[in-house]
Amino acid sequence: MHKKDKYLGYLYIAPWLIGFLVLTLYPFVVSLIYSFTEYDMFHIRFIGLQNYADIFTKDKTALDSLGKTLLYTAVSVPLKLLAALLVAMMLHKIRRGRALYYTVFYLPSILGSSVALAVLWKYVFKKDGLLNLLLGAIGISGANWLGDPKLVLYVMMLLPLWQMGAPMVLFLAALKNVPGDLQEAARIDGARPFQVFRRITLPMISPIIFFNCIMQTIEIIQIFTPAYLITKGGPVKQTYLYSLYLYDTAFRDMKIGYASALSWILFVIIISFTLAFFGLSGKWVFYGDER
Amino acid sequence: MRRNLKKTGLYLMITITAVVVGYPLLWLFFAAFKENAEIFTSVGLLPKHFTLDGFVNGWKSTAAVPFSVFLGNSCKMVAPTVLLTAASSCLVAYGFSRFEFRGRKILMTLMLSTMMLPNTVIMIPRYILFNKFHWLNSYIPFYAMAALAVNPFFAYLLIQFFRGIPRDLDEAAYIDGAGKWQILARVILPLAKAPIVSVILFQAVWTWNDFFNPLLYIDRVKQYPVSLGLRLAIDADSVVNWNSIIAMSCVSLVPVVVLFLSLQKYFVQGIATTGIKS
Amino acid sequence: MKRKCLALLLAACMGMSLAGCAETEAGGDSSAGGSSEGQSAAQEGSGEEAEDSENAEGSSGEQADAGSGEEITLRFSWWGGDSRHEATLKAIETYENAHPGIKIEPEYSSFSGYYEKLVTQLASSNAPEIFQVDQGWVAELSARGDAFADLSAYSDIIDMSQISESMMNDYCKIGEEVSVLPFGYNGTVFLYNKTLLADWCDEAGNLNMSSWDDFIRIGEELHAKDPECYMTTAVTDGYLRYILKPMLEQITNEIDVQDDFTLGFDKEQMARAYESFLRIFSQQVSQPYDEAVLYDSMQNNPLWLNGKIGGIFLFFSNIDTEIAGLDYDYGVVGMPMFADAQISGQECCPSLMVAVNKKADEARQKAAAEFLEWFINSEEASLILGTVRGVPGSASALQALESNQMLSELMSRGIQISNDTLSLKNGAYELNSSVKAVFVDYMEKVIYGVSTPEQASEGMITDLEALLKDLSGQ
Repeated sequence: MHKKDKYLGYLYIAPWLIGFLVLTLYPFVVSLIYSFTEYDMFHIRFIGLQNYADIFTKDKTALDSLGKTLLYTAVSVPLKLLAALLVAMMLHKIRRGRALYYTVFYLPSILGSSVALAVLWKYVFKKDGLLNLLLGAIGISGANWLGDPKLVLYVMMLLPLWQMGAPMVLFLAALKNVPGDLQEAARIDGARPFQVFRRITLPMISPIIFFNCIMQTIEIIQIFTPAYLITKGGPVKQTYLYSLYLYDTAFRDMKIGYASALSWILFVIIISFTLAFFGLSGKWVFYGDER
Repeated sequence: MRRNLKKTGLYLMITITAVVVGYPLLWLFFAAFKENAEIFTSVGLLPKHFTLDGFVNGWKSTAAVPFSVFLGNSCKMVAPTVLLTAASSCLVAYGFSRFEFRGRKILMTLMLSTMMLPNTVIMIPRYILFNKFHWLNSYIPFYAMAALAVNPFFAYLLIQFFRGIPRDLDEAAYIDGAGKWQILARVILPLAKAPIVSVILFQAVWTWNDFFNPLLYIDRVKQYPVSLGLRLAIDADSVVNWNSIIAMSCVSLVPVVVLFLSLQKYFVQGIATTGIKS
Repeated sequence: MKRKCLALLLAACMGMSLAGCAETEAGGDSSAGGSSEGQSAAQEGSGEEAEDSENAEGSSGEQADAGSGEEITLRFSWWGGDSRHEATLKAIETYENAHPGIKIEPEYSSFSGYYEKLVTQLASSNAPEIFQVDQGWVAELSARGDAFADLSAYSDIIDMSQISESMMNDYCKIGEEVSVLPFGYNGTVFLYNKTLLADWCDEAGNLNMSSWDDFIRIGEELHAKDPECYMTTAVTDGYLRYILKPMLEQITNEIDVQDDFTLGFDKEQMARAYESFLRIFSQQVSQPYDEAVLYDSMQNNPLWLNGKIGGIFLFFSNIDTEIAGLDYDYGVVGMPMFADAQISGQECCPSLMVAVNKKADEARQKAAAEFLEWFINSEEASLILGTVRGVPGSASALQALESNQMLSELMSRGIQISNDTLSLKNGAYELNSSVKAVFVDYMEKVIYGVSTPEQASEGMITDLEALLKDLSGQ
């Protein structure tokens, strides 16, 4: 390393650094300050830790929706990643009709949070919808998937699963980077396909698995679309996820201070998860630049 | 023989999965050709009464604006945003993955942590900031956030991939007399085509679909992107022509799908590193 | 290949700087600074002309004027659907043509996100000069945000005598100030499918239903006759506003959330209302709630579209919308009542209201008042706007629609029924969205059997009292 390199690094990260100082730092600091106030967008009053105290001692809705959100995240992140990896592995192997298959699996993600999504989701899961029609054909009488408070949260977990395009594409890119000759060599040495996968493919794509784990956790713990667009948090608040509660608190109840406190609690939760991930990553994530 | 059987099995599996994933979308597409009531009353795929009204009316005018205006706006908003994102995240990722400098780890953690505060509470201070800068009613907020790598997802994604590129290559180029900038341009970027293409694709899709940011930053309907334009006609107290909305939703997917199709070959070419690895 | 990548980066950087320049010029005028306004409006005028040749006449007129610096731009925001957008834009164009010095910048959107944006704009002093509001927001926006200009200062411009005195007092005035004006007004009626309910109608097709007992009896008989059919259905909000709350008000004879931040009901009364309300589900009079809850409008509800629903409670303004494209014969009847009830509990209130931004300067406020006088009261505007904002709250506008036969027969009948019904006004905070959320929350708990009516009444009163204390600012 040369001496001037010491500063060259700052030069390359300058775009982000400037963006951080100009566009990100201010909203962050402001929202942290808000979290110690009672603020309705028009009047502000400093109340110390009152918001935080209220959330932990009085606010059953906050704790309920936090619990639901953590459950939602714990189930749908692994499911989504597993599905993305499996589909990517299949897509990795096929040649014919590849473009068509790619498109089909990526399309749900392109649809994003379009209004058409709500129409589509209800078409599939309503009582006389597509899913129950199919179940009926094999003699099972289906449930009212979105109207039943016991089921609805689990049904909504399928949405990220269906929209798994982003991690899938990344897995695909990572799989393509695994040198074919290494796998071939292992195979010649008599390794079974699963062993090749575990010993060679998995370590080589581990940085991307790690990336996807972190990013999907961050994304899904803050997920907003299914609750906002499809169920409106219902029925009986069963899909009232934390981000929707946060949104209602800020914009419906005009309690920006309280919403900021809710946000910073979520921030601490996410960052502890992430740090834990990082702490564990040394054991199973391998980078090409490590020697 | 066994190989063939395996191959058939693979195709069978992937086709079944594709049908499960894709059928609802196919239904959505055909719903655009149905009459309003039929969309909500029948489970069938094909329209009983085939009508092009949805496309014709939706294209002519969605909420009193020709739909092409929204499409054009979205392109104006998305294209520079995507390019700026790609450029800024390459630079930042290179800086973080190939240089040692004081505070690197802390800065990286800080960068990642900016993704973790819910948008709801950032939106208002940011709105006030953009208002002070006189950036409202333009796409500058989007361009600026892209150029300044405000969403760290992309930089971090590239860091992960850049770290997978062996440093021996940098050093070989360095011995050949290449500077740091040339190493990025000639060694790293060509090897990271697949992830850079992913950055372009993701940012395109996300910006294209973004609803809340344009909602806040853009007041004039003639500057609305597709994501806002599509919702203009939805109102609980008015007759809503769902076939138009669905038809235009399908139309608005087209540019992104075309982008995806033109980029997908790069995911296949990721093999670039193969030769060098051993 | 390397070159390609470099080129890409370069192009990107160039794009960045170019876009930056171009946009600062085009978009830099977003500030509402008074002195630069004439100039920016002129810029807009010319931009518009290039884009929209239909407006050519209007904008060339404006341009001639722009030099004198007297041109005023008013931003006007509203939410709605296609028909409201189209009619409003047409009205604006007409007004602009007649008033060359005025430019109205339309800022319209769908309902979702409108309130959030409005509040953000108000908080950063960036709100439009004229904005549409919902009756339920008025008290809170006024108390917290001091958002509304006092329109009584412009009573020589806006003819407020066209709006009924009770509506002015109940909904428009806060203290002595006139904060908002109604676009339209509404009342609740029952729209029924004559074809399906023929057995329960007289020879003229009038439904024999005046009490909740009638309502439930007909519902039971209908469902027994055809198990696919139900007497009624609603969206979540509708179950609350058109069925549960009217039942409650019929029991109490009181406004349920009073303007002094107290409740107009006690635990027993609420529990009784819940018990009556539950009967419509237990006797299969209503479509099961867990199915109805999936639809955010009747237009998505297959049972309604297929003519399997006896009728729906709705605002008379929405009658034409809900039956658009359906081939059945419909009739209108008033709210059913309990035998001993004195009032109907129908919601008779302004549907959409309009306010002028307090932060706007005097010239703009005055121009806004002039525009609103034309928009709300004039025959010309009424004929363009029709009922896209509900049945007009202004007598002269309503008169214009009636004399031009622009109200459908069903809607006229609905208005008449509602006018003839005795009802209470809505409390200022009754439709506040936080208050409503508490009602919905407990209503769902009761419907799903999570809470008994007694438990729900108790929990609801506790929550509402805490919330109202909060809203009262004490």
